[in-house]
Amino acid sequence: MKYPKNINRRQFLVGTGGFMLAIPTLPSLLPSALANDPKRISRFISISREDGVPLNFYPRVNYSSLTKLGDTMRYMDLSEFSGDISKCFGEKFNNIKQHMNLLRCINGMETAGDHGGKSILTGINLKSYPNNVPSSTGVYSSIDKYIIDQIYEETPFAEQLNINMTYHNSPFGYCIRDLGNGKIKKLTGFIDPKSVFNSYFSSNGSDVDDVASGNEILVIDKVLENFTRVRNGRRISSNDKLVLDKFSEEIFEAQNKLKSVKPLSCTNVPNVGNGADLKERIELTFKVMSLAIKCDRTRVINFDFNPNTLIKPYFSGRFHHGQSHSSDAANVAIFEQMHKWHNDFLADFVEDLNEEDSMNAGTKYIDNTLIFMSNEIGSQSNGGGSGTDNNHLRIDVPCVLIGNVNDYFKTGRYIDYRNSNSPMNNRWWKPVGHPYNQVLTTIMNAFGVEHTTWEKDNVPGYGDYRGQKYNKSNPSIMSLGNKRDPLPFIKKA
Amino acid sequence: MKVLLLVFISILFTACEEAPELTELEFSERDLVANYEKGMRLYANNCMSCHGDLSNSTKKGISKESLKHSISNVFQMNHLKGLEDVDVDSIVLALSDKIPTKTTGVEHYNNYCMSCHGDITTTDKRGISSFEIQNAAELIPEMKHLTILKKDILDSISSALAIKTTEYPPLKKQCINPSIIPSTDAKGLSAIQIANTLKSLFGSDILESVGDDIDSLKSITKSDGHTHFSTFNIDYNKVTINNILSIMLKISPLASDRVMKNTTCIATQNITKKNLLTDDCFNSMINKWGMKILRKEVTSETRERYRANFNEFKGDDLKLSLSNLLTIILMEPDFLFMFEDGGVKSEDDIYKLNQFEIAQKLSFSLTQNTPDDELLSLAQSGGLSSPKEISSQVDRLIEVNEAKENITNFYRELFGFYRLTLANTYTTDFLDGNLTASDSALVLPQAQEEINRFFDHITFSSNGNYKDLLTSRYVDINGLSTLSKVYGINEADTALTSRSGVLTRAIIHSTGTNWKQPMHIGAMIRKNLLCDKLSNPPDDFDTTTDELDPDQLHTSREKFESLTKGAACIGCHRAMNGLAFAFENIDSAGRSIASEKIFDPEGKILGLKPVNTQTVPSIYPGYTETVNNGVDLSLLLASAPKAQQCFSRRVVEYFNSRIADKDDGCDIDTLSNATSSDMSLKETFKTHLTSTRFYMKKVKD
Repeated sequence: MKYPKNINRRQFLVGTGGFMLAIPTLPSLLPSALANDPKRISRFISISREDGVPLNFYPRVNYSSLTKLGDTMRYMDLSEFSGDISKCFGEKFNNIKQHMNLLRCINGMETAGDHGGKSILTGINLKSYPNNVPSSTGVYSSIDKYIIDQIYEETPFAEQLNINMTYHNSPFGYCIRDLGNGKIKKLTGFIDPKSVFNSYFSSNGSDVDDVASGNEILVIDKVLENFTRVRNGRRISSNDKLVLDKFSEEIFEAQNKLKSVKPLSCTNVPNVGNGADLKERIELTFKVMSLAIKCDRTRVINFDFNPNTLIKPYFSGRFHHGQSHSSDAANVAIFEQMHKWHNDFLADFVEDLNEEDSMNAGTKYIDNTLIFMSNEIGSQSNGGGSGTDNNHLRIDVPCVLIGNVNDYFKTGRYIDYRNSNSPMNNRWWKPVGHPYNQVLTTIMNAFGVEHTTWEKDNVPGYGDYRGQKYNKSNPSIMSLGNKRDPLPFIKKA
Repeated sequence: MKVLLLVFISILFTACEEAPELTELEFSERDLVANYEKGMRLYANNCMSCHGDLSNSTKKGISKESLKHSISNVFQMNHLKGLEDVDVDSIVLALSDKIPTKTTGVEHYNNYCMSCHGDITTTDKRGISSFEIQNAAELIPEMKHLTILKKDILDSISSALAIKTTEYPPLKKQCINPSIIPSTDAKGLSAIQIANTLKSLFGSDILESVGDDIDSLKSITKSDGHTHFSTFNIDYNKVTINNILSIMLKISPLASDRVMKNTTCIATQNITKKNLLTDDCFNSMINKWGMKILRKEVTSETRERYRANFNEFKGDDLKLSLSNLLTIILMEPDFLFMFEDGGVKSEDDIYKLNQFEIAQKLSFSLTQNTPDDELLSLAQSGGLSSPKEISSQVDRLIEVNEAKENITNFYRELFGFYRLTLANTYTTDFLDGNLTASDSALVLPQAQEEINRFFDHITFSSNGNYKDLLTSRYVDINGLSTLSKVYGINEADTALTSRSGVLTRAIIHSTGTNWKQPMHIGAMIRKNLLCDKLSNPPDDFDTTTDELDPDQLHTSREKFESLTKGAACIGCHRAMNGLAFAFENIDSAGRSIASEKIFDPEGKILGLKPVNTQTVPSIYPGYTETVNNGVDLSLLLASAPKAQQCFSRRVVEYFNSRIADKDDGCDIDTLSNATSSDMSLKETFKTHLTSTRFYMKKVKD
């Protein structure tokens, strides 16, 4: 991977927020040439999820209360929601919702198999032609490939940062790149924040600033002593000793945390661990992503954010699968909490980027960074909030756009792209919406990439609509509009 | 009983020309039919390939001795050596070609009841007890002639009406050796126990600042994947351990305040400075609060250690230093765990709990709370030494609200409706005039209130038993107007008309949405009430492509049956579907329905379709008994020995706070006997909590 060998003063001074100490950006220190450069540096971050969403992923507003812009679009400003946006986008989003666009009724491409991960085409850089596509001359690339070229142009590090956060800890299987002529290359995806650090940052710092001491540490010292005393001095079973050991280890770690707060900057990077538990690992991963953006170590990030079964400790031993396929209202509620849990990390990340952009004077990172979060599966609801649909359909597939690029998007809106006259007698009892292709076209257009750059064999759209799940229905009734067009009404007028 | 059996068998075969030596068969009367059928199955699986089908078998009339001899000496039959004696008996019975009659109760019914109540297969009197028949005979003039019937005849009629559980195989006893005592680890306090204890010690408002942390402790993984009781140990992972520490750090300042106000020598002199606290005052404070917190007397060594800790803290603020000390005490392993190592063990490593350990085990098991002052005082004075003394405390504590709440919670978790919040997304079309939009939000809370009253009535007011839980029509919906609409009865009514028992109540079926949760119910019955294991759905699976015609309306049952018929699903769903679909005549708001409303995804009604509640529940694997509806199924569960034994297992597990293992078999058998003999629920719980074994353990390495 290529990085600038010499860290410049700007990069040196860029800080980051969160629990690590930040060195504030000082615009006066920016090179004047950079400050006057009218062409902004832009970034693209895609976050792929693979668990489907509950109905309450979206705001529960009456369709009729949305402002009508045409037969296929209604919207509401997110600022009009007095409370949280939805059960899955909680309080943390209330301060950043002006940067969001939450799309509804986007009907995605179908795969030949049961799951649609390969059809996201932002997080996974490949889509095989399904068997029944008109042409079979190769594979469809992720749009990242073309966006990267546009973003970096002549810059030397034209490579995206790929991160995998999955339960199988596999670095592959996600970052596959189309090299043309039907050949593909598997790219390594980082599976932990520490390896990202090691690869993207050249120096590790070790500053330890003891800011907490005194009685609280003394208390924990004594607690540890008591555990040790009971463990070693009492007639208890070996299992009991193991439990006490576990307690002691965790309390010991808590004590260490109290003792140190680590500073962080582009050149003074603490020796970040992998996070002893998943929550910490995810937090660190987003921090590293933020730092990589702020220190300009990368401008394109793909994050396969699917810890799957690893989330069990946070949800009473449950993970998404038992909830996503359940119609049990209690399970649906847990599923909603799971999404909120994941989304809260994203909100912190956005907050982190809601700071002055050291490379684009007078703007914030989030103004020049488009975060696109999608999901391989659409809303699992068959209606009424339950999730009994086991078919993994890419219908009503979540599309969350946060941030902006080149001032392209009008943001801060919940946009419903359904045809208000949808015939409901289609196979899945879902409203007809706009095609997912239009989301991809929109994103590419925002970065200055045209659909012709991407399209193969003059086949409109980036994939077909005739996967096996559609065999019994007429695919043409499931989506509206030209697949080559961007979404209507999303661009700033 | 054995005499009766012989008489029965003699009568059975008197008419036969060559009655076989049936006296050698050690079957009880009620198991005769089941064993005959079992013998048929065993023959088909093991013998038929060589000896032809049963009706033309070359081994008709074979004796047990002859069969056993062949199994031992004929090489081709060596694979049958694993058969138990009772299995051999079953095969002999099947080969005797004397098909046992079902039960004379049917004949009695036909003689005495059928003229008024119709055919036994369709009568609405199924499930009636012999006691109820006797009562009816005394009260109803048309039945006066039945008062002369003896109890055994009434029992046989009741038995015949109780659905054919006589077909079920005998229960396998769980008790291996009564002298074996289970070996156990220290029980960690559960989330609710920690919460209750802290509230008891420091006031009900003590947890106001730590709600999320307490909630996060409710993760439970110490289970076999099937039994999940909140009394089981917390899964001590990084999150829970950190949260326990966080809770104690947060509450200790307020706790410190409460301790100071309730320590006379501090409060009366209004001491606020650490250096003004005398040794005597410190010792008296630690003696009192140490015992309350640690549930045992504080030793002088411990007191001195705390004093040293206390002195080490920086600053002279008494409240602050006491707060730090309380954090240390509340993080003591002796507070967080119930170690049982303070007494004396016998030579064979059997440990009998000491007085304070008895107090804490009884208190936490029965009330989910720390021992109260009376228990601690008795422990201190040796007042929990005899079974009578312990029994007296069980009698006292089982009547306190916390114990009642705990027992109600046991039922909640047993019947799988422990969730406290549900969505309310019923659509107008679904509610359909019978219920208003404002009613819809009240369905769940009123259903919960109703079931709490039901449990209270069955357990405490009427001294009801396990069967009553599953079959009683008692209802109290006074003041619950929404539930009155749901059940279609008046608020003043005290009996349900077309339902009986817990499983037919609104709480089981209310989902808050237009859609039912049949699999939730099926899995709950299979796992919780029958103690069968069900695999969790795999991490990832592909359902069979939905083959239902989208242009046709389909009931929930039809949809689920279609979705689960594939090979990957039906293995488990066979065990659930037959239990679940018996309740198809109750909708997702708990109302009785004859036809199900079918909705589109937006909740708009598409049409109606009649429901079908006839199922094959297969209480025992391979059995094909049919029930007409959920009431029938409840009756079956109430009287099936397997369900009674499972209930006993669940009682043992809940109050022992752990999954039962083989060494708990004797306790399970004790309670099974109690349950099958209709002992009241309260007495059943007390039986377990006063058992000598409950206060013993085998010492582990």
